[in-house]
Amino acid sequence: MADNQKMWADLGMNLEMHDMLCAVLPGAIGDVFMSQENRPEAMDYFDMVLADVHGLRPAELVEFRKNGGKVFGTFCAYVPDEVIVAAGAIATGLCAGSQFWVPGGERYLPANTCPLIKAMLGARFDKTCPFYRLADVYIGETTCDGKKKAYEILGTDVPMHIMDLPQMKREKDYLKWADEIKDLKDLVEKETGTVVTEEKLAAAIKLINAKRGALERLYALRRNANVPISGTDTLLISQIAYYDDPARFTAMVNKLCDELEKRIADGVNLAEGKKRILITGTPMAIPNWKLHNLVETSGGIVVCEETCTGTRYFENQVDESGATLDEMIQNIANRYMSINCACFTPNTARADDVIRLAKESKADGVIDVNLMFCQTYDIEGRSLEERCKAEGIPFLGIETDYTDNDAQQLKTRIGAFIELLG
Amino acid sequence: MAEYLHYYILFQNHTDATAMYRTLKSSGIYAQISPTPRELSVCCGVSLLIHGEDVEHIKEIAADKKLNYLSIDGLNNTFDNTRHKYG
Repeated sequence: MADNQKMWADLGMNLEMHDMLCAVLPGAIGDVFMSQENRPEAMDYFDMVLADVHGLRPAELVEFRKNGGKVFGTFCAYVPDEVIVAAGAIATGLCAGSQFWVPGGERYLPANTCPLIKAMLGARFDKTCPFYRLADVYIGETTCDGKKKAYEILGTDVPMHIMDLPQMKREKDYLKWADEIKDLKDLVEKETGTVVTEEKLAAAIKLINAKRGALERLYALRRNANVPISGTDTLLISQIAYYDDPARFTAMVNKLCDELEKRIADGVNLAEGKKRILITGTPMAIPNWKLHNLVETSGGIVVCEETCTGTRYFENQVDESGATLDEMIQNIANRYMSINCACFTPNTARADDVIRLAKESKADGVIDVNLMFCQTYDIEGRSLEERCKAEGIPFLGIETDYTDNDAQQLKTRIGAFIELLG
Repeated sequence: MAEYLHYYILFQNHTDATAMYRTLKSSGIYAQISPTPRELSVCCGVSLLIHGEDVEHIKEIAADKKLNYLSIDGLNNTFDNTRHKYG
């Protein structure tokens, strides 16, 4: 793929350093994905995206920008793609899920910062991720103190727009979030030179609702007694959701779901002899497949993720009945405020979600996985454990990072947990 | 018996890889989309993992249907889901 090298050079990337990432990823993908047996055929699209993760989609973004298009980089499930899409722009996730980027971030941040935030800065300042080079403006959000301060540092190198996410869910907070979305609309209109009309926003709402609907369909199929797809494969799809073209992604997920329905009917069951696990906690950005790989090689199968790379990303739709821009924006705000992140207080609805999803997914146990130094999720772990125990749902809490150092220790703990599930 | 554990078709670009993949699948020949192993190319990109016993047949199909590829190479790499190295 000689084309990639030229593109990365043109993007000002550090080719020598990026080459080190290219050296390890194929091996990891082979171990985590290609070692799996009886995968759905329609995973081939997602395998293609992953195999050339820094080539295929970046090349599309390059072409888009050549024609005057603007790309907005996002970090969080709270940022509404609808507004960006309505302005004819592209929203792309800026993932930060690899240990490869962490040392670069530690040059700017204290070591006791969560690895996701450190990886964000490492990817930008080391110039080793094409997506970070291609986003014209980064859209940050105030979902944690670490991110807020990291965005200040990113802002020294790239245009940043911060959305001030409320931390409570009172009526005035829903109104405030709608105001923040209006500010985002103003920004994308200014950057793109395109006015967001009622028609464009209504179409964007439908587009992103369809994407969420496809993911909802995928997750519903995993609740079946016959589990037709591994949790690791589903995690990959959720990760790709953040940066793929929404219409194409929706079509590919629905194509996969058609096959999964047939697999279920044919009696394919990847959960045979395994324990069904629900994972909750912090996001798992690409290429963070650590916990899923550990669980699914220790006698478990992941049947649901209550995370930002799981149900938080797609549950609840934007009400499509809005007629005016103000109504549509409030409807968008209402949907995104329904996400239950640990940055909110109180956040008991997240525990309600976990219990509901565990029951719907017929989970044998819940594993709460939090990235090191993520204080809000870490603190919620205790109350979440109490709620699960009160419901009779076995619970395991894990704190980890992107390194491989604790993999064997975690494997022992996860294996013991799964064994105790009977 | 195949000389290597795995065989890969390498391509100049993903368009050629997609064309080859579709042709092989429609011909009932095993092919798996794969990242190009480091040992075979210094650049990230898509390759196709194929069975060693299909190599000659695939070469014939590629010639017949004028499908572009750079090379077909063997490699003794393993897919080990207990290695727990994630990049």
